[in-house]
Amino acid sequence: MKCVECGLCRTKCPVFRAVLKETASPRAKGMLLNREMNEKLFFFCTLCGMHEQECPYCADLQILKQREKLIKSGVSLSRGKQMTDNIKEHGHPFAGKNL
Amino acid sequence: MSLLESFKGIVGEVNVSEGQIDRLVYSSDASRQKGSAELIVWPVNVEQIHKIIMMARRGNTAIMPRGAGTSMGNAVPSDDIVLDVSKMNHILNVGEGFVEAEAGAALQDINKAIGSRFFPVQPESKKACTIGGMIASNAIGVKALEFGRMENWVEEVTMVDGNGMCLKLKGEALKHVVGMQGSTGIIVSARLKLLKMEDEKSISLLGFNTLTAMQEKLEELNKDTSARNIEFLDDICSEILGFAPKIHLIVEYEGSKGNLKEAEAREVWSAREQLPFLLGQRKHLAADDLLLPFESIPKFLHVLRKDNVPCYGPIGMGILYPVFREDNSMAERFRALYRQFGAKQGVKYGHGKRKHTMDDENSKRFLELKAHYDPKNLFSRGKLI
Repeated sequence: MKCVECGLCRTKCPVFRAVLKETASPRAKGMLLNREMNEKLFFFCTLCGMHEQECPYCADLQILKQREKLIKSGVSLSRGKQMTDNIKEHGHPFAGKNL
Repeated sequence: MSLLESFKGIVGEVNVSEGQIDRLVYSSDASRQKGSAELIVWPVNVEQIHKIIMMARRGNTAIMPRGAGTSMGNAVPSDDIVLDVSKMNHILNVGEGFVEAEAGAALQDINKAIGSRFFPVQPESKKACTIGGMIASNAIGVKALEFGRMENWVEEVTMVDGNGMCLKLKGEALKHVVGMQGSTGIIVSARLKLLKMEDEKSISLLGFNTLTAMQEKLEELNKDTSARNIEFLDDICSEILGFAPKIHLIVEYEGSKGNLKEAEAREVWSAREQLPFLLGQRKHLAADDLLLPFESIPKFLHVLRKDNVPCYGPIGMGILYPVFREDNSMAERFRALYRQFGAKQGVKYGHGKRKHTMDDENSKRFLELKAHYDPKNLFSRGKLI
């Protein structure tokens, strides 16, 4: 089911609890999805799945799918790029040669 | 200097935004009506709220206060600044029989903090709704007949009014803020009354084949002082909750008069709390909140039933929630009939910006309060009037 934008997910979302702005809430991602907008905001999620537990409508926010689309269209976060560069260069995602 | 720059000077760069995504997200709420937020500001204390209001006064800029955005009453901005109190979410003090919290504190967090006591107004949005929003809308909980509304449980409200004055409202003056939809000031914090854990209660789940039989029982129950809560479920709602497809009344009694006790009784209430969401999963998302004269109730329910519109609510108070699908025009057709049944809208979700009429006496009172607390009409423009 699509997000109905009720906002009941926000209190338990760790990203919202840290930032305390509606834009950081799962509902904000649901709003973007409902308006067929794909934005960097989809990277702003820990993928902990808490919103799925809290959502009374079992809405699917498609976070990974949206991220995949963003990356394919050349949009990524600088930290993500740094991580993939590290993997290519050192075989692991962390900076430096030795783990 | 632009408004953005001015606000940065008050709340810091990270606590103000006119970014496209922020504006989009803050232009809507749980009612899913679309408004338009010009700028969003996240104050963290009363001094910042005071300065924001003084700045808004100078530019005659409208401010829409916002809590969790769980309102179903269309509380969206119209080219306003949105003042989000989410960062003012601290629980300040829990004492014997009271809790003090900032306006942005979520009810769920308060429920956790108060331990063995409980706060009696528990709306279905309790997971997220904030104290400020509950006060502004004079929220109503699931057990409304027994516990009433927020107005019964607020002891003191601190707010900053449209003159920039920080006021502590108590007693009769609470009427100037509770249920005023944020039109008289920005709620900063509040002191709420708490109760000890509920006394022993039991419930009966009564099934009826006809509305007439239900109405007869309802009249009898209204005279029974041990009946603390009376909740109506039509046959559609009953079936969704797994009960027999009949009309039901959930009757909660003080003591052990009801035939379902403790765990079983809790299960029934817990199912009832899930009902709006289960209806939502079936695309019934547009709920109205009506107060009806008792004599109109059977006729009204009969009309709803003919068109398969689900309906539930604390019928013991004369309150019912018909729930329409969003993808057809049936809701508008029914709304045109409300007046003919003597129904008043806005008893649960508040009026927000929904069309409604205010009688002369209330309108006069509202305008007097506005002139006193918010003479420049900064707050919640378009709500109530």
